[in-house]
Amino acid sequence: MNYKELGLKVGIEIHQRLDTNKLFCDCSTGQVDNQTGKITRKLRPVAGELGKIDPAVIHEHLKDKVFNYKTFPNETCLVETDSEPPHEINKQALDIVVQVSKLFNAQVVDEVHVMRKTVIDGSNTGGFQRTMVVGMNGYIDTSFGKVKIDNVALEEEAARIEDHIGHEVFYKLNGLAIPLVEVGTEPKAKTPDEALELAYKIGTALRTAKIKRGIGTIRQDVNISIRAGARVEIKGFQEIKKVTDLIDNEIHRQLSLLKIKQTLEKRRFKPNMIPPAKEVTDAFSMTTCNFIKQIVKEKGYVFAIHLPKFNELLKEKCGGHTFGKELSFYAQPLQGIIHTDENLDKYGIRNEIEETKGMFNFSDKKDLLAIVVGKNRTEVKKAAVSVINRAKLCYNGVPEETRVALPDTTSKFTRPLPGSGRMYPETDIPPVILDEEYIETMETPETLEERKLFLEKVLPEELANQILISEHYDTFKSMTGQDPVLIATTLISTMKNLQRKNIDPKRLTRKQLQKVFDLVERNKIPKDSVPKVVEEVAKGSRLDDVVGRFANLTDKEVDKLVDKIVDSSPVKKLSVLMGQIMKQAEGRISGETAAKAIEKKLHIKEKKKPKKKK
Amino acid sequence: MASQKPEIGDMVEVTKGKQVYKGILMPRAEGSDPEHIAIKLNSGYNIGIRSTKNGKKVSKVKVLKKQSDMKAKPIPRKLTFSSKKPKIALITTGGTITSKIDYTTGAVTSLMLPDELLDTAPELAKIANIEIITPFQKMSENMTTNDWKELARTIADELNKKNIKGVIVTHGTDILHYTSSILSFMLKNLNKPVVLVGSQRSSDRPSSDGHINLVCAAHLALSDIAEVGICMHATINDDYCIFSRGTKVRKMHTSRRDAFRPINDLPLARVWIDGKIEPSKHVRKRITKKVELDNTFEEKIALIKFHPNQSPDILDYYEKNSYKGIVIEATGLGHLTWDGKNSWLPKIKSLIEKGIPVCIAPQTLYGRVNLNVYTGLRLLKETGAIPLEDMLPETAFVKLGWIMGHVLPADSVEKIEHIRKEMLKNYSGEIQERSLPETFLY
Repeated sequence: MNYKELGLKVGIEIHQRLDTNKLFCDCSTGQVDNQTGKITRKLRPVAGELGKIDPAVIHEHLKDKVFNYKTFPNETCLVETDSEPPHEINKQALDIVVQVSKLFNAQVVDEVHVMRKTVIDGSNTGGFQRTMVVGMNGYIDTSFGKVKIDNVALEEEAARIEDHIGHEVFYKLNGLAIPLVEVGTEPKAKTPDEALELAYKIGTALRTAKIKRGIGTIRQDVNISIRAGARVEIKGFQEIKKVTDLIDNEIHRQLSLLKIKQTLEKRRFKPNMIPPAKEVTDAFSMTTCNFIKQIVKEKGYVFAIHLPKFNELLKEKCGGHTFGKELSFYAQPLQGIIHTDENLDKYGIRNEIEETKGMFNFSDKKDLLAIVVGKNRTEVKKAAVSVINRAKLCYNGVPEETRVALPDTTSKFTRPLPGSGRMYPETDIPPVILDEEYIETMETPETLEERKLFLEKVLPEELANQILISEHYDTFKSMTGQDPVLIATTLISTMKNLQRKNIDPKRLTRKQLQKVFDLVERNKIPKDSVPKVVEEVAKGSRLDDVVGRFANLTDKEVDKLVDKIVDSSPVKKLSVLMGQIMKQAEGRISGETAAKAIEKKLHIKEKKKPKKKK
Repeated sequence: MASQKPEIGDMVEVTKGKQVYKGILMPRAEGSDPEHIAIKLNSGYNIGIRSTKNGKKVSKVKVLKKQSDMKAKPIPRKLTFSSKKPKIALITTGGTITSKIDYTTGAVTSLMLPDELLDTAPELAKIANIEIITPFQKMSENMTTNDWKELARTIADELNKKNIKGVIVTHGTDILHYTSSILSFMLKNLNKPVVLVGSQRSSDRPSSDGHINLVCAAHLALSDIAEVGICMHATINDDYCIFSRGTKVRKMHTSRRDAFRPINDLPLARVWIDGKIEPSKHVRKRITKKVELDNTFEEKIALIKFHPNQSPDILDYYEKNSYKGIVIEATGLGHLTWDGKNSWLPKIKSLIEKGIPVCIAPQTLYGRVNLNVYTGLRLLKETGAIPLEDMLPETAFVKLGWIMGHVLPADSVEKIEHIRKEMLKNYSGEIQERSLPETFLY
């Protein structure tokens, strides 16, 4: 694709979890607990701040919805359940975001105001997400020039959805209110590769701050536009490397929509040709299609949509799926639409559809008919109206909207772009003044380059790189000792092993680790014992108790062990004896010491033997 | 053009050093730092910018556009009620249930138009024909005894209208249980339901508990239960409400939605949003008689919480300031210091001799005072102090004020005996004869 010709513009918004406790209470963000409780809640539209959306419709939508929230002993308290006002802003999280602001050359605001962003899908128990701008007007250097960073914000993570069964939605509260830093750029990237570079640069720069690592701790929102298209925001993309595919798919989608627009123009389509949706439940009263039968039996409804001049258009490929599928997204929360551009035999409703066509001024050659089915009349009608409204927009090309990224790098419609109207002040938390003296004391973390220089001086390249991109850099730097390789290996491999064994490596303090390395230095424990000692301590043992079990054998103990093994072994070869001794000593002896002791013993024996012969 | 004075709501440009910010000038919340101003950015975020440092100006504000046209726009839906539905009088008095945010200015106001209140619970129109009456609007902690008198009169007027099936009172939650107690006494021969309701989480948030409480209250107001009580969430979930007796209920948590618990009592009823009601066996039923208003109140009543090492000198203050009656929250079964230099007994005895009644209520809230069990208790009883069984201290406080608002015998001894008799007379379920095990920590 010729991106320049298309006039592609991409901006990136990165959301990265911070490695602290929760944002408005002291709950852990470890996400290791098991669920212990459940609460159920309802949400309501609140008059006034919903802008253009009809509150009555939302009310109807929320009326029967029940939100179920799982609670966790160390990770949820009354604050997450909206049963207690938020506490003050987590100071550590705020410090980190001030540092991040400085990292991106942003101006830290004089006074931070916490805002509420209305979210009524249940992912926030209060019905809103709390967020605050900390830094403004920063920038980041890229190969295609300086890119402006509009905002650096601190916000709370939403609860993770687990399931959605009928009117019941299930969420886990352990993730709610984990602090996130949000870094948003101007739309300056002009190719997918530039966008990838931008996202990558921000992501890597963030790695120098105190952030969480691993799957799900970082995600991108990407806003994309092409000249003839419109601005579309795609949320929640996790796999940074595939952002180029996501962008290509979106460009393809917008181009397809433009092509559909041209076709409709040729066919002399006008939006006002689309008649209102009609209730056609009666036409389906005798249907043999199982799921429709079931819904009609339960006093459900069928609405029909007549789209003049749309024949064959719903088969068009449109950003990784068909335009039919694209239209279906607008029927949410209903399953979707059934339409005449697909094989109706698989539903067994050909006759019903023919009957329905008769209710409209329908042309088989030119037009398209679609139906929506559901239990709640208002909901079904709303879905039909929203599909019609979307179809009307085809006349204009590409609508501005918010979409959510799907795992296959396509996306689906979630809602029209929200205005600033859904943001209002969080009155439970007073503004926080950030004075110059405080901002001054917040040092920006070392840059990646500075870190690399330091690591390459003390570690072999591969290990240096591992530490560089790991979360252990600060720990590594704080350790002292003659053997940086041992320290680095312990941090990388041993910690990973602990995680594999489901032991929380966070239980190890830096002080404990330093003590272990000191013991190695002072020859109190052999290097080889370090993983075992560390594991025991991480399991909760006291270091002093563990050391005894793993300490080096004393000279006397070594001699005794060597005597025993050499005397009882029929083969007196060094390599064989070494193996046996090392096994028996369970790591409490270094190879060097063992070899010396065996040689000494064998030497004695050799000396003795000839004597006997004489 | 002369530079205009920036006003709240104006689109402004703020220059501070090299930084330039554009946005709408926002009001400052009371008590916030005077050296900063707040603006709403185009993104919707608010930020604060330092305007002065130690009184010296550090930023400049220029008005870009006067914004008088952007004043308060959310228009509540007009709810239309059907005259065919049974009629409920909804009396609003203020509090969280009627508080909201002004989305233009961002300020929280505790006062809401009655129509907006209904906007949060449009189901009400399907249940009843609601008439809104607003005698006053206050956060409950600012209410006075005069407000109680006025509220009682307003309720009585409504209850005595033939077409009114019941009364709902929306009210701040902090002192809601004091109000429910006093109304229980002031409305004699209660003929219809009087349902007090509040909300713990403000109605400007989608998660507010107010609407469920309000809808359940409407079902109760149409029910056969002729009691004064509080209708609030039963649990931490949004599932159902409990209706607790006005004299036997207390706010037991600062913020949870299930904060109102019956104490030494079980709920009068459990209520679901769909209208299902499970009443207890011991509720009073509707009667056709008229309610009798008895809204007198003596203001000079003290409620004192006894604590260890407390000198009885505190009682001198009340005597000197002409207090007419005292309720003491005593420890355990009714103990106050009775031995040593801090003994309260002589002082209490002298107050009672002067015709100032001293009542004893349980600081434990749960359980019953009993002045017969230990020496100290028996000595307290001998002073003439009035032990109030299992009555809540707050209920005891308003009941003493109500009793003493009436004409009393002139003679000190007769007066004390009269008050003792009245305080121990069970007017509105404030004393439960039997202590049921399942009432504890209900």
